[in-house]
Amino acid sequence: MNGLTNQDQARYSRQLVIPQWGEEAQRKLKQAIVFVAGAGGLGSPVIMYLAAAGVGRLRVCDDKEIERSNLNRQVLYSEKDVRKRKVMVAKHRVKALNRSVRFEAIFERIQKWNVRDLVADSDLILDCLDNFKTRFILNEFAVKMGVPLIHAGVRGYSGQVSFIHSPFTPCLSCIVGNDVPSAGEFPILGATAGIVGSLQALEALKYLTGIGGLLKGRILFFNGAQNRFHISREQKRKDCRVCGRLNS
Amino acid sequence: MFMARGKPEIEREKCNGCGRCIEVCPQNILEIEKIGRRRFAHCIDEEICIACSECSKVCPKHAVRIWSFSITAGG
Repeated sequence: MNGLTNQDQARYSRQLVIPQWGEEAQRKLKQAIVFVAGAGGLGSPVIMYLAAAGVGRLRVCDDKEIERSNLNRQVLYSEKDVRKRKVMVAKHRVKALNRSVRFEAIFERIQKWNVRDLVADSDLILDCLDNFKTRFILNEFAVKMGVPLIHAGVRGYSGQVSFIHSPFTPCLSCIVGNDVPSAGEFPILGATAGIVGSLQALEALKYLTGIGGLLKGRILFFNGAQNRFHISREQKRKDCRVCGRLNS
Repeated sequence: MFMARGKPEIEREKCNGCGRCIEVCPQNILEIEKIGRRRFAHCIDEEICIACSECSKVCPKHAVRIWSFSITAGG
């Protein structure tokens, strides 16, 4: 049943009146399956806003437990949750927020050999990860399967978002190459992760509903320290080790 | 250096329209814009600026500033 109930009509009434949105867009959200890789600083706003907006199924993958140092930014979690599995606490939060969302909690590390089973039949991948090693595994899978991937990263006051959908756009490896920063114990403000994660969630909602423009082949950079946004245009690389053969 | 992108900002009050920045820009995204008798350097496509800062380095009037943005890894 993917029609809108009376409860849905009431719950989503403020977004149903957005120009071009309406019931059709809401139904598309209800039918969507979204894979969220990482339930940390970016994952927190992404999961909350996608659930609140009415995405039907969230498949959330994270292999970590909550630490006290997570609480400055990972707003899904509270002090009483320290040492619990992130995905399980996230599931309870989402159920409390919107019980019509089907939340699949996956307590696993994404690796080359399991990525296919984890992402499975998801319509969209959200990269809320904290390292490029795993990002490249997801990117390779997304390119191979033609699944769109919304990348984001944050540090300090800054961050970036990009919509990747090979072969129509450059892939993550085209954009960042091989020389990538490692996150380690990176400095980060919760508000920065909140802004960048919200931009990522918005990008997902636009894709799923088909309304609005996407950051295809573009990166949106945010610098909160200087109150600046910038969009850069990116090209596919013929010598890209991941999608290069598709570009020739 | 990790992948970085830039956004050029040219202060018209300082720019004398000498065009040195245009000569050194590897992306060819700077042009001269004429307003009345005055000439200014002007960016025609800031989406492909690579933040090399060559324009800023050669500007005799210190009129060009590059806002640099680089990829971050945290989540």
